[in-house]
Parts: sequence; C-alpha cells; structure tokens
Amino acid sequence: MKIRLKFVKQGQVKFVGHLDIMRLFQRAIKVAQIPIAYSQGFNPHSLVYFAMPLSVGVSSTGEYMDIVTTIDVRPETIKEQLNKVLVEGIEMIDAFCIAEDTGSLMSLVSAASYEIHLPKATFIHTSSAAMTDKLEEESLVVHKKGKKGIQVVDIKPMILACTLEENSDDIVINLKAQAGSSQNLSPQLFLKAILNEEDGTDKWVNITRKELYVYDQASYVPLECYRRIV
Amino acid sequence: MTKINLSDSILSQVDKPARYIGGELNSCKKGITQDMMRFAFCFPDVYEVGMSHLGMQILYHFFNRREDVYCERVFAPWADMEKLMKLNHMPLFSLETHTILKNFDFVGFTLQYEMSYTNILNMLELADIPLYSEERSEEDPLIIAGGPCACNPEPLAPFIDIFYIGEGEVTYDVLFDKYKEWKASGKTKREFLEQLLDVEGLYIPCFYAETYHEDGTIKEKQTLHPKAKDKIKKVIVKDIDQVFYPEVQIVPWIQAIHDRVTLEMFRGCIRGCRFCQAGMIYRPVRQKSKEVLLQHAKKLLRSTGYEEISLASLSTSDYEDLQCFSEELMSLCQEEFVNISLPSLRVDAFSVDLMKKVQEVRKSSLTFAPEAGTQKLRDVINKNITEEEILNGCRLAFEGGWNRVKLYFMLGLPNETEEDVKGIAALAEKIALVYYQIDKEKRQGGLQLVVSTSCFVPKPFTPFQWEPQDSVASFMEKHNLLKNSIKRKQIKYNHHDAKTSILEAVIARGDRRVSALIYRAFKNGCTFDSWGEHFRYEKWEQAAEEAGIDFDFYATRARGYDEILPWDHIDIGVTKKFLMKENEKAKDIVTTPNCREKCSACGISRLEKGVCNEN
Repeated sequence: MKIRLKFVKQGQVKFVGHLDIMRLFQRAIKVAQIPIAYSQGFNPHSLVYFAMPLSVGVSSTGEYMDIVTTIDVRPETIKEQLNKVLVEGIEMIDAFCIAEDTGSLMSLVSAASYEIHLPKATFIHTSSAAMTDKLEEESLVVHKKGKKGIQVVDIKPMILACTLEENSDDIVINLKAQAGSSQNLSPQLFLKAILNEEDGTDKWVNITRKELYVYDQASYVPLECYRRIV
Repeated sequence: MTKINLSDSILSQVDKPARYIGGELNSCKKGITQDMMRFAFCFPDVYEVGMSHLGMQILYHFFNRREDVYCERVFAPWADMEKLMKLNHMPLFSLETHTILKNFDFVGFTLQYEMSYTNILNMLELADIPLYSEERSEEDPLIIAGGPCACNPEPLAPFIDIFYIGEGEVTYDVLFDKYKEWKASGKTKREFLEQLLDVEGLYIPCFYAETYHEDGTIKEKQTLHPKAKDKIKKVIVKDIDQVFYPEVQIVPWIQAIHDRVTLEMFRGCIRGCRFCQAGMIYRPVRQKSKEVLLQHAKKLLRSTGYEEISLASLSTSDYEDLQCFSEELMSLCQEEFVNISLPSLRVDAFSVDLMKKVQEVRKSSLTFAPEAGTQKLRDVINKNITEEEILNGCRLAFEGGWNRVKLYFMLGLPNETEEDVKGIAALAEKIALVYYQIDKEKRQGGLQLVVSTSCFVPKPFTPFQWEPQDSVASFMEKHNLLKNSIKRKQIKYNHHDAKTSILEAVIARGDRRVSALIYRAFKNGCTFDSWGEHFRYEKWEQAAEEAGIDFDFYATRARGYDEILPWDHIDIGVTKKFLMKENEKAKDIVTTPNCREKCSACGISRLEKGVCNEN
C-alpha cells in the first residue's frame, strides 16, 4: 500500500540536512513500528521516498514523503504513530493513500512556493520598489555557479508568481517558481538576482517552503490534492 | 543570563550546524525545577566523535533516570563555531536546553585520550569558568572527571575538583544524594569536598600533594587532610547482569563515527597483553548473560530504529557461549533487517566463520591486530597468538571471499630489535603468499593489504609502566626501515605520527607538574590535538620550555621499581607486584596464560567478582 505524507520542518531542526533527515525518517518509521516494506535484493532498504531536498537552514510547511507498507493501514494511524515518535520541529500534518501507479514524488514535483523574509535592518540597500522594477523587466539574468563553471541564466521564465509586501520589520516575498529535475529556481538564486549587490548574499534570510506542486492538466496542483484516494 | 540565544544567523554561518542544536531522537527533555541537580556531561571533542561513545550514552540515561537530576550534553565546538561564540560573547552551552555551563551544579568531563586535555581547558574557558580549582568561587560548578585516563589523574589534578575512579554506575547516586544534602545545609564547597573523602572511588586532588627529589622523581605523596586516604580504590559493578543499561540510545543528527546500537557484552579482558591498559584497568572480567544481552538488543533496536548493531568488548571472541549467542542474535537481526558488526575478534577459525555468517553480502575489509611482527616480540607483549594461527585465519578469510585485510602493529615495544621491525614486513609478505596460494576462482579481485603501525606509548597500570618510550628519531628510523622492507605493491604501509605519541607518553605517565605543560600548550593555542590538522608540535615544545618540562624525563626515561609513580595512590585492582612480575617475564620472553586457563594472581580477585571467582 502506497501512502503519501505531508509534513512540516520548522525551528532549529531546519539546520539538519536532507540526508540526515532521510536517515531520521527511516529510523523513526521503525521505532513507530510501521509495517514498512523493504526492497528486494542483497542489501534491503526500507521503501521511503522523498520529494525534493530542502537546503540546510530553510524551513518548510509543505514537505512530502511516500512510504510503502506491507499491509493495509489507515493513513491517519501512520500519521499519529509517527508524530508520537518524531522530534520537535517535525510534524506530520496529512496522510493519504495514492494509486499504485502514481509517479514518484521526485518526478512529480514541478513547482514550489516560498515565503522569504528579508529583515529591513540588515538589508539596508534593498527596497521593495527596486525589486519590483527588476521583476517587471523582460529578463532577469544572474550568474550561476554550477558543475560546468559559471553560467549565465535568465530566471524570469522560471518565476510563476511573485508578490512583495512589507511589514514593520521585514520585506516579505511570496514566490512561486519552477522546481524539480528539469527546471529549478532555488530561492537563493532568485535572491541573488533581485537583491541589491551591496547587500551581499551571505546575510541571514528566513525562507520557508510553503508547498510543492505537480503540473497536471495545464495547471500547478498542490501535491496534497493530486490523485488522492479518499 | 542562564541560556544563550543560538540564533539562526549564527547557525547558518557554521559547518554542520546540527552539531549544536540538540533535540535528537531519544535525547532527554525535562521540565526544570528549582531543586533539580544539573549535570553537564562534557565530551572534550567534536559532536560526531563524542556521540559515538558508549560510556556517555550509558551515564546520560543512568543520570536521567533520576527525577531530581537533569544530565545534558556538551561537546567541544569546532573552530568556526568557537570563533563566532567569542565574537558574540556567547559562553559554552548544553545541547538540551542551551544553558550556559556556569549554571550547572556539576560539569563532568570524560577522559578518553590524553590528547583531548587541551580541549577540556578550552571548554572551561569558553564557559567562563576559571581553569584552576583554587580560582573558582563557591558559585562555580563542581568540575568532575572520570573515564580510563582518570587512572592517572595527576596531570589534570589542579583543574579538577573530583576524580571518579572506576565504573560510573556505582557511586554517582551516593554523590548526588550527598550533594543534595550539602546544598540544603548551606556549607562551603570545601566542606562538601571533605565529606567526599569518605566515599569509595572518589579522589579529591586538593587534599593531596607531591614533593620531588632533586633528580625530578617523586619524593613523597602527601595527604593534606586527616581523612584523606592513602589509596583510592577503584569501584566496580558487582552484578553485571543487574546493572543499569539504557533501553534507548540518542540517535545523533549527523552521522557519528559509530552510528549504531552498541551492545556491551562484557567488561574486562582475560588476555593480559602487557602493553594494554584497558586489559588491566577494566579487570575483573564480567560478562553479561546471553538472555540479558538479547533483551538489551531487542529493546535498543526497537527504540532507535538503527540498521546496525555492534558488539562491544575488549575481545569479542572470548565471550563464552558466543556460538549460541551469535546465532540467536543473527535470527533476531534478520527479522529486523539489521546488520551485525563484530569488532575486536581474534584471528581464528570460529571468528572467521562467524564473520562470514554475519556479513553475507558486503565483504568489508577484515582487521587483525598481531601487534608485533615476530613470535619473540609477540611473546614479550603476551599477545598469545602464533604465526600459524595468523596465517590460518587469513587463509580462511581469503577463502571466504575477503580480499582486503588491515593489519595493526606497534613500533617501539620493549625488547624490539631491527629484526622485529623487518618481521612485520616478512609477516605481511607471508600473508600475501597465502593469498596467492588460493585457487584463482576463489579469490575476489586483487589483494589489498594495509599494514598500519602506531608508536608504542607505555601506560600506567601496565607491566610496561616502567619502560622507556622510543625517541622520535628512533621511531622515524623504524618507519623508514619498515617502509623499505615492504617490496610488494599490493601491501600499503601507513604509520602514526611519532610526535603525537611522545606527548601521549608524557601526559599518560605525567605527574602533577605536567599540568603546567597542558596549561601552557592551551594558552599557546593548542586544541583538538588528536586531529592531525590541528596538532602543532612546536607549540607544545614551546609550552614545555615555559613550564619547565623535559619530555625525555617522562617519555624516554626508564623508571626503577622502587620509584614512586605519580599514580601510586590509585588502587586500580591489579597489584604493583603482579605488574613487576609480568614485566620481568616480558624481559625473559615468557608468556602468561589467560585468566580462564590459569589464575596469575594479578590481585583483582580481592574485588570478589568476575572470572577469577567463577569457580
């Protein structure tokens, strides 16, 4: 039985990296005594799959994980069992069955939304107005360091939606951008493109990933709404 | 301020920030109450190293089983974090509640290796706690230290208030109860320490002093209080099956060196290798019953979700009933998809067979420790294994599908000659020949043989405690000699740094004056000395000059049997007479049978437990 779980990762646990979180889940699933299925072969591992790595230091309210169980279990029960075991900062908020032929999380993800808080006190050279101007231009070119060296990328086509607000402390950016294995705009690269250079890129920015989306029938659908078996 | 604010901004600037946040699976969260005793368990190394340590896992849960005690963990911050902490005036803090160390009742250090000592001073300084006991106020926490290196406490004596000699499960409850009483009484810290003079297993260094002869040797060990005992007796657990063992283990955030369930099979070792401190100080041998071990294994696997379990002991092959136990453990582990790891095995048919069974798929490399290259030298150190046994073991391993073998040796052992050094190369060559004698079809790829040598460090409470260590120059000559004696390209040779070993020897057999060396080295900027990239020998040399310490006096000087040794006031169980006898037998190249074959009257039977009293 294939079960999809949605969880949040908040607080200081956001400083635990993706691979370490994967290991934690594999162990937590065993501790919670969930009837997890194992792969065949010489070196069996539990069938647990994740959607898209989250950078160290980024929080999330919309992470996903798939597990395969050996017997039929109520998804709600799995959610509860895991929450009893899991550490502070990580909490399962949804669980549902998906059809056996539903694609892997990794292959489904095609967009992500983020909420970015820029503290005004530290980003003194950046203003909402200047960022809005940049976002309205036809292209938004940025130098990206990759495996092949420095590349020039136009990130504009990857931005699906972007709004800016201000409160007393922060400039708040809500960004929805392409994500996944084919096209991926990380919030860090996005910031590099629209921040004033003088503010640099190494200051602390509070980023939360809000949701992951799948591209289905010409629109971006939150993963929690996709092929859910009720 | 009692707690620090560990901000996102700081965490985002350091490597592996998960080292500092706490909150792992099975870590302990408690509501803090006024009358709670707070214990900071400090491991003077980085998180991944400390989290691999079984002793900490045991004592952490042992302390926390008490409602009136809250034990939290503290590790040495890595250089990047230390820099930020200093920059932001942030004192050292605990992982569980981010409380600063000054606010604890006890700050406890575990002494696992000598080269971690500068980290202890660094941690105290980062915590704003004065380094020297006499400079600390009534408000400062009590600094306590235990672990194997506490068997010679003198090099740290001026910094530590209480040394714990022996196994933690025995006396800590007494200590906590006495502390509670004292705290309520409003008496001074000194009065509390005086009270502890009655407690078995505790050494309170401020009530002791050393005087010296003109030649630098110890003239007298003095007690400065009428109640201070001449000898401090090690405390041991009498009923090993009944003793507390945690049902959970903290599962570290980032992969620790050893990231698995650790099952303690027994304490002590029947072998009596003459270089081995652990083999002497952890006597008597007490093994847990099969039933108890399987219970522990079941509970620990259930509570941690680990995919590997490791059997911990000084010599796993010596567990009686290993056959039965390993079979039952294997069936338990197969159900749960858990791997078994078997360190500390001897090279014999049964062990190789066992390894074959537990590692059906991935054949990792096999590690054997013959320790010396010739039979003569193996007899000197009482490593009771013959060349034939070694070659046989290797043959079985090669036939079983292994092609990578690691061999551990020591250089600079007493009575070592050039022939013994060359003997290491010769033994490796013979092992290679064994490999090539096997049918080609049975071999798994090419042979990879790694020969590693460490530099022998004479340790307190071993038969070699009187022996001189080799000089750096001699170690380097031997490294070269061995390197040039190995001709085959399938045999790789690597060796430990001789200079680190010299310092280990100085500190391991140091007296109270050596504390000044550690202090000066720390002040000169030494920390993380066990990490090759951090170790600065020149700074230690400079510190030696400033502290008036002559390395040769401590490392390369032979001691006479009549000399007062810095650790003579500690009664570790085995007698000095036995150690002398063993040293004499080493000189005569005579071996001693293991404890199950024949009792050699080491003196430990006075403790009325263990293999010596089995019959």
